[in-house]
Amino acid sequence: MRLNFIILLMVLVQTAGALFFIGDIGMSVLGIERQPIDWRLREAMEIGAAIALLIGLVLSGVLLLQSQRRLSRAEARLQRASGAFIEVVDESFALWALTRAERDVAFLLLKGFSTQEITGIRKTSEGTVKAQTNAIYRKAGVSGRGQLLSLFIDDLLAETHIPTPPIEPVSRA
Amino acid sequence: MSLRALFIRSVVVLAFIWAGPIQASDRRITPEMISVALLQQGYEIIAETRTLLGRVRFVASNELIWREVVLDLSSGQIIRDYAVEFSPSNPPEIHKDEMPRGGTVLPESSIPQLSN
Repeated sequence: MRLNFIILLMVLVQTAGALFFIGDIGMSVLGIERQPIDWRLREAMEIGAAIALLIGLVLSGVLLLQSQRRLSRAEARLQRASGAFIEVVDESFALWALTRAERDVAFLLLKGFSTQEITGIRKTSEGTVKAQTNAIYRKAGVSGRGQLLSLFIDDLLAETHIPTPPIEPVSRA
Repeated sequence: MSLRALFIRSVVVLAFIWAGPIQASDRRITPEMISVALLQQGYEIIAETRTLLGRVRFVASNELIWREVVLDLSSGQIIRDYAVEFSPSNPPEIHKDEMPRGGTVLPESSIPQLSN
């Protein structure tokens, strides 16, 4: 609240300073004749502009620092979430007793690669990849890639978002 | 070039730029020079004051012509010098050491120079 007030004040001071200097330049460029403004007022504007500049510098520094901190916090959170997801995936793969090759293929499936792309990456035949894919689906008890992915999405959502039943309106007697 | 070398080079360049006006001390204008010149040109010095930012400000009048001169002591340069002429029918309102408002601003060419 107080910071907002200071920012508002600074914007006002900077606007006044900008109008003053732009007006001065504009009248000079357009050749409008006028008596120069009172010297004391001029120096007051100079001082005001200098203070506004300094405060602007400090404020933008503080804001930059804050956003930098927020960004690194978000990145750390994302890293933690990503780590947790990999853990869940690994646990499931172990539970389904996937072979080493099947694990690799399953990871690629989760990442969204097509059978052909997986063939290219793993340098095997399409038949092998298809057989591995079918084995993965069978062991996981799903019918396709969408269901495989939804197993993990389910786990993620269950932890973070539990839907609550709508609250019944209280009847007043 | 390393960052350190760049920094040292910038400091040296800045120091030279800064030191420029000090080396040209023979061309620096002093408050005494201004007051002498104003008196020679027939002005009466109404006020000689130090401003908030350390400049010296003169307000002088020569009957209906009023002149304001501001000197920056650190650079030795005149940063304001203008004159206003009032008509006898509409004389200026004078408040202590203030430059009176109104009148017609005289073109620069018609004001005798102070720094010669």
